[in-house]
Amino acid sequence: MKTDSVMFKLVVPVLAFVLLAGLATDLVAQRLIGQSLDLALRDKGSAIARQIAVTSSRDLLLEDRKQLQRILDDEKESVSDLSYAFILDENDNIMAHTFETGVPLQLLWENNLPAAQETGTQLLEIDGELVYDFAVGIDVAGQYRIGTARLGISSGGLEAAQASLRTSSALITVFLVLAGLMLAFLLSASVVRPIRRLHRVSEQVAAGSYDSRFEWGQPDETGGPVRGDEIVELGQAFNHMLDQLREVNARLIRSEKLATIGQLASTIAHEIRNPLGVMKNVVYYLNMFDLGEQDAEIKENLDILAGEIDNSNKIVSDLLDFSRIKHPVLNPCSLNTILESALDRIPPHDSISVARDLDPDLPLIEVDGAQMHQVFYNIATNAFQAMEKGGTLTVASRIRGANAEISFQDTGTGIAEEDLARIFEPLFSSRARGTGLGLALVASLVEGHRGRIEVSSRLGEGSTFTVILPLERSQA
Amino acid sequence: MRTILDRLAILLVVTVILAAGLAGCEEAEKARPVFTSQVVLTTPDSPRSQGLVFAVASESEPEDTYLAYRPLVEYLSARTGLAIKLSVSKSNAGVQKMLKDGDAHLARLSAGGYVSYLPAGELEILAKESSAGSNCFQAVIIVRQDSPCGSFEHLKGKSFALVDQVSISGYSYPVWLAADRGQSLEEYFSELDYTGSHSMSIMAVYDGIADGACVASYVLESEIRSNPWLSDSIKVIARSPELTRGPIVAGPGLKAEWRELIRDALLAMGSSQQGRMVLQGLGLDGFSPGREGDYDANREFARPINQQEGWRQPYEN
Repeated sequence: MKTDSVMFKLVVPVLAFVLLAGLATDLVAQRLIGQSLDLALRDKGSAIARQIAVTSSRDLLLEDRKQLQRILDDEKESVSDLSYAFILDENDNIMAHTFETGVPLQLLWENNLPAAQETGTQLLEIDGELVYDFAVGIDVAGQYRIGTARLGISSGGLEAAQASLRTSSALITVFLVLAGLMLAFLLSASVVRPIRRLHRVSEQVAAGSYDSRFEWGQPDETGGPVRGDEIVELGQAFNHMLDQLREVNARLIRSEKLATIGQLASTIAHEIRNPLGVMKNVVYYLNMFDLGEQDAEIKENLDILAGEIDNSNKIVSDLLDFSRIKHPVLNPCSLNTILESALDRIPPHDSISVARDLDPDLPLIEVDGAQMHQVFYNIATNAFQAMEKGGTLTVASRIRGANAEISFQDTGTGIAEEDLARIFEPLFSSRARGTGLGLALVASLVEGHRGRIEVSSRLGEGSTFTVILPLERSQA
Repeated sequence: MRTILDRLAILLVVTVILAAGLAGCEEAEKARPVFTSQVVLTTPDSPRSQGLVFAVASESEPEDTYLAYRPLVEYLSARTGLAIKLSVSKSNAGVQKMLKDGDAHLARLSAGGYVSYLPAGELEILAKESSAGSNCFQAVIIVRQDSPCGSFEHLKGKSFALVDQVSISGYSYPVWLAADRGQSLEEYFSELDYTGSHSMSIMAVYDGIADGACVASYVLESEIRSNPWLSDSIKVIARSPELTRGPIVAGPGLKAEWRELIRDALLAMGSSQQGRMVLQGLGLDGFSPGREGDYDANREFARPINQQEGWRQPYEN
């Protein structure tokens, strides 16, 4: 893991925080619980000492040593960590004790209780063992001090509890650190993985693969767009940027092609049109002669030649038209009328029928009539050419939202899926005799009207071209 | 990255300082070492126990007796300059034993406790108790107010509460009454209960534990003063002739000059405010001089016991 990686920057602070928090919590908990245990031990010792003082008061007055010894023996038996206990009378005579031999002399000097003080506690070290020594005065009716009850509670239990606490606390800290480490790795992985994926997609885009997309997260149950955290939102924004980049790139390519075509067109117009004109005149001249027995055959060939010359002229005209696309001159026009005019221009075909589904309430829309005529004509011509074996062209107009839509649905050969994305590129044609300029011109003209074209097609079933134009200008 | 590491280092140091500060904000108590090489046995008493011991038998609860007699002991210590310690014994027999063994130097004995002490004459009377202007009292036979028993004869075959065997009013008088009827206590009564004190005997009758009891009249009067409802619950069905109240005695080990000091202090108690307060706490008017002959009547009641075959002083058991 690199020290400047995101994972390192996430894992190390989280781990450090967990470690420090665990350490701090550990120390504080040990301290607080240790104090609580210490306090509990003091309370316990004090309570036992008070109990001895109360129960021994009568027997101390009567100097009943046997009964006093019985009281201490009972306590020694019932309290496991009781190190010792003894009772002194008011002159510090030892009345009873639990030591095997005798009361250590020095113990009598420790934890002496002043007459005005009811209890006293002192920590003693007896033979290497820490013992809490408790002294409680034995009083009669709270007035006269007749003796003292002393007892020692071993801190062994307290130390064992604290040791157990330290072990548990250390185990918890280790567990927390491991859990924190795992959590940090999982957390960082959830952040780093999509970033790495995004990085790979960026590299692919930089290498020219504009079709790459950043895919992350799971689509929602309705099949809608992926919903997710900021990473997913970033990916969606990245994909949107890619879409725009791809579109801009396509436009740029088309613009470059258009520029090239424009240059070519002007050259071709000069270099080809003149010879074509001469050839046209020659054909016309030859048609004026009677060529005898072969006249019919020759005239047929001359007609073919004249047709090819016209076709060549048309190509040159298309090239010139394409390279000279002007800004549309907008005027309120009836799209239905323009559509009918374009359809009328196309020579009828016996096996092709044209069905109309035009919205009579379609409002006037501000368009360049001539350009829109060219758009509809080119699309309809393409549809006829796709239905050489016959079929039906259904044209429809309608309002949808803020747009007017003119659709051309044919039952022709359809367009291969791999060609769909390129059909609007200049000089691209799937037909042998196509110039590859018709649909490119359509796209340019529609874009000039701030519109767009949608195409759907299935190979062998036909295609649908829909010209979508904004109504905004017509409403302004 | 250096910045992050720096921050982590700062965070670590701060945390450690805070934790260490929190953990060590209270200084741990230091243990004092105790060496066990030299030990002290329970007996004999340490040399610090010095001075005179004033022994008294517990009347009811030892604490009550201690509270009643502690002011007297403090008074005597103050007036004589002698260090006197109060010691409460379970019974008059215990007091007798302490005097006999030299564990007590002076004592308050009951009327019976004094006359039953042997050898007679070993104890010196320092003063006699005086209450309501008299040194005398009576042994009274009591029953519950609702009892059908109206005389000692009616108690025959009943249960009876006794104090202890050295008490004239709590033991000797009913023994004398039974003997006068030709029977021992065991023969006369169906059940005998030794309560240890006059107060407990009174409560035994009140609670119905015993059908009757024999107690000192001054104790009954004191109990009725403290608990007036007792007068409606207890009735006296027999009284002894007048007996002399118990004395303050000096044991054989008490020096002669200290005896005089203590005697003078006792006899002078009524003349000082502090003394009167102490006497009031004991339910007495004062102390008066006493002599051996004052207890002849007491001794008459104690005699039948002493003359019984096989009878021994309780403290000799």
